[in-house]
Amino acid sequence: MNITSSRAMRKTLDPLNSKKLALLWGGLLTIPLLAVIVFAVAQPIKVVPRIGLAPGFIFTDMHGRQLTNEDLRGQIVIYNFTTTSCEAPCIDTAPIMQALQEFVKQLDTGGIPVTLVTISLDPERDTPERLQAYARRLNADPARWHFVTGSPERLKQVVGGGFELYYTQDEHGVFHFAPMLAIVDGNGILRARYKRGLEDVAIAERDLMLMLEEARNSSGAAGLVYEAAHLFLCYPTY
Amino acid sequence: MQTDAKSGLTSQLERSMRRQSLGWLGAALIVSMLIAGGWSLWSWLGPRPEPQYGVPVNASRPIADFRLDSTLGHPVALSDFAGRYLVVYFGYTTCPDICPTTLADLGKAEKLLGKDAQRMQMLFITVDPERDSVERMRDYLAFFGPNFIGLRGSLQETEAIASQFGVVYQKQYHSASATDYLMDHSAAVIVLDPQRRPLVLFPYGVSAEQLAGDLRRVMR
Repeated sequence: MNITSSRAMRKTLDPLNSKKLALLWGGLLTIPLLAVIVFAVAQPIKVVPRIGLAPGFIFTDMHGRQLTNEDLRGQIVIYNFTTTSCEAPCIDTAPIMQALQEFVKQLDTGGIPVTLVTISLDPERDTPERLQAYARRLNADPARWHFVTGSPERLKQVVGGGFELYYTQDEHGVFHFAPMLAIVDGNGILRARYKRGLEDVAIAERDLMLMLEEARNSSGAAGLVYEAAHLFLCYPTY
Repeated sequence: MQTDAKSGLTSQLERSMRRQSLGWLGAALIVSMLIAGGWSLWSWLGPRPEPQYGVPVNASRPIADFRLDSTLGHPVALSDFAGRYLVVYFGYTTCPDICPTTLADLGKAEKLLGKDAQRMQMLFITVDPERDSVERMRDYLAFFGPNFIGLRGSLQETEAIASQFGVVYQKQYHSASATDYLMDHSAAVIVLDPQRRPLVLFPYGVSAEQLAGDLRRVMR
């Protein structure tokens, strides 16, 4: 009788505890693991990767005035790289810029300015006058869209070295390059590059919205959540 | 007979209670190990603490390596400092206001960091290589701290390197004299991680205490 009661007592003591403990340990392990997996797969917060520091530059705009990357700090800037004489087979990115200009016009950016910059790779032919005519042709809003160029050396360094768009000029003076757009954030960080062409408009618009959202929301505690979201991104490899 | 049974019961009870307390002790040990392990995993793999005064860059693309003449007396490359954080500042020795203030703050921050300062290296890259000789930079930097290294490249090298850091500069002439000019330049301090990836950008005006605090946070 006594022995059975002690056995019963042991039964009530031990299994309960070991079950509880197993649950506790299991919970401790799986809950954070599940949270990480859900965060990584579902991506409740989407962010645009930070690729690197955008290159510094001093260029001249279509009014002969200087435009530097420092002038554009605090603004989200969309760049395209072209020449005013880009005609087939050269793939013109100007229509994408036009579409983005219209998109930005209707957008509530929450006080964060969004600017467009077209960098001409052909300073010899693309004089300020020619850039002005080009801007008019594209219906560019002068308050929002800059057209710039610089010396060939500086262009090579900024466009080739910094934005990593490689281009060549053949013996007839024609420039050969792949279509490309880039987005730089208000801190001067290169966030996106699009190298395909017209189908990139929707992606660029989505990324722009995400960047605006991040710029508005990522202060304080939410900043840590945004930083965590950056951890689970598939970054381009270098 | 009954006393035997009683003592058997007590010893069994005692044993089971001992086992129970051992179980809890083990559980507590494992839980604390899990917490410690989780914490170290988090600080190793989790998001790096955000700088409070600087701008987080956390770039994935490293700065391309370069080798320049230095105040050490021999050319140095960024890769020579592998494993250390690099605090890079562009300026020039005849700079009237911004450079001395920033350099003084950086020197003070290095002192405040104490032993942690050994994990980083401050680099000063001149944007005025025409007037700044290595000797001149050595004399100048000694005012701000013992561990600054000054780097000097050709005009072309300097422009390409500065552009990589998002830094621009240009001469501002104040008289007809060709050597009488100021350099208008980006005033940011850029911190690279040991893999040469830009990590934090400090705009002009961050104090020594703030610099030191943020550097301690991001160096892990």
